[in-house]
Amino acid sequence: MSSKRYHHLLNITAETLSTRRAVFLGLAGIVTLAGSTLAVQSLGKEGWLWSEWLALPIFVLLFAQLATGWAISILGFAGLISRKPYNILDVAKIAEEAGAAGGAPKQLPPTALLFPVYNENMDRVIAGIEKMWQSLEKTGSAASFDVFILSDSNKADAWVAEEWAWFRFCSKWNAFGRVFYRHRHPNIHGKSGNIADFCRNWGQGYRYMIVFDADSIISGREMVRLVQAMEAKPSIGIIQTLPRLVLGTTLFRRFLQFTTSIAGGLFATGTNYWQLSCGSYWGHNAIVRVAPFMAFCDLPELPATAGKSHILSHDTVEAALMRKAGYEVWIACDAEESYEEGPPHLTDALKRDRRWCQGNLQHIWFLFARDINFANRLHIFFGLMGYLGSPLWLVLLILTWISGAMRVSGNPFLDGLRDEIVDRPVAPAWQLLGLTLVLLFMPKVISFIVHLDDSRKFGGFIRMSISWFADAFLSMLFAPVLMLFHTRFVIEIMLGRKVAWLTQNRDDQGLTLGESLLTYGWVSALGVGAAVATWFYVPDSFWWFMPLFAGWMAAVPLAWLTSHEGISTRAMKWRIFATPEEIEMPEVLKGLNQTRPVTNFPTAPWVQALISPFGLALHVALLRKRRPGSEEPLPEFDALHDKLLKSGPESLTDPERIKLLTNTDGLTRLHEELWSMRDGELPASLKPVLAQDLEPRLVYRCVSRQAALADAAAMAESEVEAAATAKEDSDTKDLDKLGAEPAGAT
Amino acid sequence: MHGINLNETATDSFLQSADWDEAYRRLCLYLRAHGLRGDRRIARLANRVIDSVDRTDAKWRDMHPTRIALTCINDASRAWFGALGENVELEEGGAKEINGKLAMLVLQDSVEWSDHFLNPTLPEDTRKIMQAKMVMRGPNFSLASMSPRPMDYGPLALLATETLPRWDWWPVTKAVVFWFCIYWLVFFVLRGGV
Repeated sequence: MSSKRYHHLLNITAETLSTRRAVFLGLAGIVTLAGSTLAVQSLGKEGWLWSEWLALPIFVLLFAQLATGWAISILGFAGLISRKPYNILDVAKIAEEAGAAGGAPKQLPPTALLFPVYNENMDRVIAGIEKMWQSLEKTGSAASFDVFILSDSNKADAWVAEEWAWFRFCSKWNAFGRVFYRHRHPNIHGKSGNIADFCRNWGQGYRYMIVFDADSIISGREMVRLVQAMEAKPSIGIIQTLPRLVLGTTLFRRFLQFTTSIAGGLFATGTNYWQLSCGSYWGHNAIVRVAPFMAFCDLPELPATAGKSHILSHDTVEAALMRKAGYEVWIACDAEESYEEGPPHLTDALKRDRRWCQGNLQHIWFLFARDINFANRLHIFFGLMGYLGSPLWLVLLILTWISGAMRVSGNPFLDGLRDEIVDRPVAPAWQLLGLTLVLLFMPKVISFIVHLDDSRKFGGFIRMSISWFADAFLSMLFAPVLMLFHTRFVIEIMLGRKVAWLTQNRDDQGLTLGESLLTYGWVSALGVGAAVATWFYVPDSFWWFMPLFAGWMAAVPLAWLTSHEGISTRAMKWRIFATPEEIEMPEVLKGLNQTRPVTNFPTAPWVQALISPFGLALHVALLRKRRPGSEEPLPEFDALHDKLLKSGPESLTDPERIKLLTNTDGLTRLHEELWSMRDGELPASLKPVLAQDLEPRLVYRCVSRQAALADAAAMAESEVEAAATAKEDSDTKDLDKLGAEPAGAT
Repeated sequence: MHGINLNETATDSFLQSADWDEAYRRLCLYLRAHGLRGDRRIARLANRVIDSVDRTDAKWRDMHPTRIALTCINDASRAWFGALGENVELEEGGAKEINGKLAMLVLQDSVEWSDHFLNPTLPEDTRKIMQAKMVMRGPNFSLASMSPRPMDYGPLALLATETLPRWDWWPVTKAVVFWFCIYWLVFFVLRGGV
């Protein structure tokens, strides 16, 4: 077979791009026009209320958003059944086939795998890196890849735990020199600053970087394909894979998994249809060409009036800058082994949305910026509408409610405000309802149809059907709740307010009923209040509003129930919300749902760096300014020193601990001083720390490859040692009696 | 090669002091924290360190035995690692004691350090493997600049940065209030007419 069949990917013309955009926008535009016409017709020719005048443009905007989603799903369906798909990773096959035709396969260029971490659960991060490491080893191209754990952690315990986790990994896999750890302090500009810091310091040594999130996984085979695709087409700046959500245990996470698994491919293919080489970047599970990224993609400062001048959501802007520089950005819809984990419960999803919302709203500055590609402007606009759509939807509902109330006769409060009752044509209203339902459900129906062939991967036809209905039901309940929170986020961001969340981030434990009540109680109360008001004031529309109110009223139990594993375990048993990765776990994911601890600290982790000689050595070795005397003296050292000695290490706050940990001289001085102190002078809390076994093996022995062997050997050794020492002692006594020197040293 | 002077012995009265007992206990804990195993081995090494202290030296005057013992072992450790890594070329910023301790840590499972720590006569194969592990092969910095290019934010930024800050809101407010009143006036006149 000739590689010519992939050559359409090598030359994307301007005509192809504009034709596809015209098809996409035309499809969405026609449907929007039809919906708007029906809306106008259903309002009749006369007697429009002020609220209806206001509602109409909002309706058109929101209907266009709905039509856009529908058009993407239609184009996705066309793309999936196309004989000439635009799957960018297919260009890698050109290289593969060239290699197969003759000669040795080309060695891959140096590629850095970047894992930015920020106070993460390192057990999970390291377990993921281990799986990818093993997977890469199997490809035979592992030597081309280096791993960088780029820490931005600002908690002392997390920082030290990361160092030991890195050390344990390198010891276990003999990976010193190929897996690197770097901690950055202060962590300026968040994740984008973290990646930029890598680029400035080591970027020149690598042609590509694959950017991960702390919970991202890409198989070795897929990473090699990504590099080969970049090699085959040097005009590509970024290839973004479509990560599948996996390893969910709570019902919420598994619901998201099923939704993205069944519909994600369809939407990605549809999006790819009109974007092609003008795609977007999501900040992780993507390969980036380092040189143009360094040359063109450092984030500019926002205009002074933007309040906070740093761009929070960097990925979309980086894609726009890469396009502006003339490089292509693709979405690889056919990347099969790219994964990430979803939020475990609604509250975590909302926390993430809050960050994304703020980032997306900032993008408004780029909407009219000069030289930004049209497709990138569309991305920015869709991103904005993703969050602005919620307050608009809420306003539309309120206006609709008011319109309904004003048309009810006999209302003593509203009778004076309403117009004459005008008979409205009924047929267009039903047609509009029908069209709306089609736009809402057709993408779901299409996604169901395209997976009929492989329903086995979703637990079989019956279970996939049940999951599909459950997915539609839960989506219907969650949507109004998300709408309210997104509206709140938009308002808070506009007012410059910060959010105080009432829950901690506890992935595995779910939400308590109290936390659910505190977070979602107001939503449920609003639902009950709105339902009662509608029952009295707009009784005709009560059942029309009911799906909305039901979502609000159910917010507390919904958030609580879906955050736990109990109900999810049953669903998993019945294979409800089953995904292909659950039915047949890919090799690269096996074991990740039950990660074992990488380290086991006998003290608070940061105390290891203070007390343990090896902990100190490991920490200092990984500091940038690690040569004693190479740094500025810490001005607060004396105060921190006195506080530590007086009240113990637990009395120091995290910023104070970080100050000590970043100062080699200060930390070394403290370490030596603590060990040299008399028993009576030691802080009470440190006495047991020094007295306990600080043997370094205990920190990482729990999962060390040689630990089991060492334990077995230790038993045997202790017996031999006891016998040998007894003999040696007896010999020494004999020698002492004779006035000889102690027995040999080795 | 540097190491503890194993030949030196101390008087009984020197060793019998309670302070020295405390120093001895602390030293044992410190050695255990270095991954050394076996109570007797640790005790032997601690004794040797304490024995090596020249109590007539003026620098120890007024110093508690615990501090003396820890200073001695740290000095000895520094010298031992320094001698071990004499011919080892470390990466930029590397320190022999730090790299040496890390090498010791890396080799925890394969070398019985209780027998070798601070011992000047280290077996050749152990010395070689130790020296090899002392080199932390990190990616060398290849510093490059990465700075943002100027961005023209277009009309929105112009509006936000130049027009709005100079905007005089008072005439605008007056105009809005005026036209709002006119609108309602006309609205009620028309309704009254109907």
